[in-house]
Amino acid sequence: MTAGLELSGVTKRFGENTIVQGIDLVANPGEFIVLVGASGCGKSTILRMIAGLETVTEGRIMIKGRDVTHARPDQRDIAMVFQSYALYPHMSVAENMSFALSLTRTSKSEITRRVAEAAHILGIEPLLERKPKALSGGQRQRVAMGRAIVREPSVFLFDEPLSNLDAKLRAQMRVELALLHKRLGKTTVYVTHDQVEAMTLANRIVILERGVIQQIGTPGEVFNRPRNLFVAGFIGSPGMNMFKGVLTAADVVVLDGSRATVRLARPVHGPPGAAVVLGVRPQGLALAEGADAVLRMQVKVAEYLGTETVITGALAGSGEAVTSSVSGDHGGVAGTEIGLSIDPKHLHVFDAESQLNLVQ
Amino acid sequence: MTLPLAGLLRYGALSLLGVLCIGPIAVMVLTSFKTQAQTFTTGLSFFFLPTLENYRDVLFDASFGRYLVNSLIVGVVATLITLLLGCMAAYGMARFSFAGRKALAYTTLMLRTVPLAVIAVPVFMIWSDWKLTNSLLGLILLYVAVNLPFTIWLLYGFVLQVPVELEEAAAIDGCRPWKVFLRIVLPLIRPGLAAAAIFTFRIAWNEFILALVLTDRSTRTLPVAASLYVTDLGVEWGKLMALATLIAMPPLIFTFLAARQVISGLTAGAVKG
Repeated sequence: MTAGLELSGVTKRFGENTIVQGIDLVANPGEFIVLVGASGCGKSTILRMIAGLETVTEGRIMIKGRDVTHARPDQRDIAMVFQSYALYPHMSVAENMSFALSLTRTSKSEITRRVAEAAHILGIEPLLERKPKALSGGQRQRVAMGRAIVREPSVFLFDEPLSNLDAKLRAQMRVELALLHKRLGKTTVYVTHDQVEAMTLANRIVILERGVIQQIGTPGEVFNRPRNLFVAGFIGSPGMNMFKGVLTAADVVVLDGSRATVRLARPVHGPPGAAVVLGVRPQGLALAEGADAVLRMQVKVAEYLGTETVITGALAGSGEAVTSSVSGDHGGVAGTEIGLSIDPKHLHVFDAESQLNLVQ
Repeated sequence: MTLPLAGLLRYGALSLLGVLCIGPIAVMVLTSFKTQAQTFTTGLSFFFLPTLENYRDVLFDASFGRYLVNSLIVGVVATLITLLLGCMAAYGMARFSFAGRKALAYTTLMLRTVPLAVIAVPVFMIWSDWKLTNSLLGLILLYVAVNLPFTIWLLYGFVLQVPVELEEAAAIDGCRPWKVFLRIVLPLIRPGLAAAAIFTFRIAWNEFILALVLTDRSTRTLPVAASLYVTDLGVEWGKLMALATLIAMPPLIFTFLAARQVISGLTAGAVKG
């Protein structure tokens, strides 16, 4: 089966600076790929190279089996939704949506049909005669998507399309985007720094740091089996707790500072005495007393969020920052010292030097 | 709290400014309706028996039509060429990277600060050498050269305000660079083009010193023609003011028409701002 989109060794350099390094990525037809990473990690540059807005220094980009590495943007069979919407302000909504088709001399009846269909899908029929300045942020976002839809491209590109919307609208549009992708079934590459968008929308997530892919996997894979410390710290909210320690046996880690002994669910690949970082999701730390309390924590803040309480404080002995997420209302523990048990299922052990996950 | 006195002072100052602006124009228009004798006997008075004699003499002068056509050709053609070259140069400076781009942008503006009288003699010598004196083409080229720096500088700012994402979206939609410029950028810098057109046309239409030096009987423009009413025997105030009033009309009409385009916020809604 021909891939919807294929990147082979794609590299981008600006002078001496390498922005994107040897990206290899294959998106299956209809797959929703999310590129995620901190600002400046190169995710938007990759998207712009796919769109043809940025030249490729090295490597090859294929869309549906066709080499488009040096093709003009309009010859790539793609459509892009920009972070800033980029609607033509001097054109009405209908003109914005039909602009690309009018340039390819598509018949008027076909243009009308496609604009009407896209407007119906997005629920923007009453807005077709308006100018962009007369639209709200959410409506502009829909028009920008409509402009992409009418072109019926092979690949949709989204560059942080929801980042300018308020939280409520963002959540609503996220659901609409997921439904839209399900309906259209087109290969999609979506750039975001919001991990909630990444986790909820993606078939597969590509996590980037400094222009290099750190891990490609389903949302479940990158959350439950992070390949390295960066991925472990990046995915998940609140973030994973990281405690320095030493691997004393294949399945035992002794933490620095607190000298707490943590027994792992299964042995890891590492020599005894190796410096490691123990990673624990906040959900893996539960309130405990007596022998079950492996760790002790001085609580600074306890935030009750309705169904759970996020407890933040410092680990007794080492002073390392620690966060626990426990179900129910435990707002009263603020300012006290509490005991915490560790669920071995939520544990990850990373080599302190290579930063790779030793549990895998 | 705004004191009544402060308000009075403010309105007083504004009224004074208004009188200073409108006063000379009012005197010009009033004088154009007076006979030569009334000009001196009535002074600035509004109470006199108006006459259209001056307008009749000016309009039925055998050469008036030719001067008017000369002025229109020079004004309109110089404006069109200036806008055409100016918008392309401004776009190039705003969008393409090349060595000394910023320096060039500001140098063009500095060139505009040179008084026209200073360049009159060298221009006359060069134009004579190139056989461009006593021709409308010579005058047009000169006005283009004089107005282009300011036009480029003005439009440069407008082009910078057009979000690059719009051009990228157009490229993805299928526009080649020329089409991006014509279909996306030009419509969005329309207020700038209108402002530049007002500025250029006004200068080309009103300019006196260079036109006096570079034109003859057949290529004379209206401002130069007005100076013919200042003779060794005296100044024909009525006719001079009538012609001055007529000269002031087209730029006024043009400015009102073009100013409609000079509205802010044309790019509103393009990108989230």
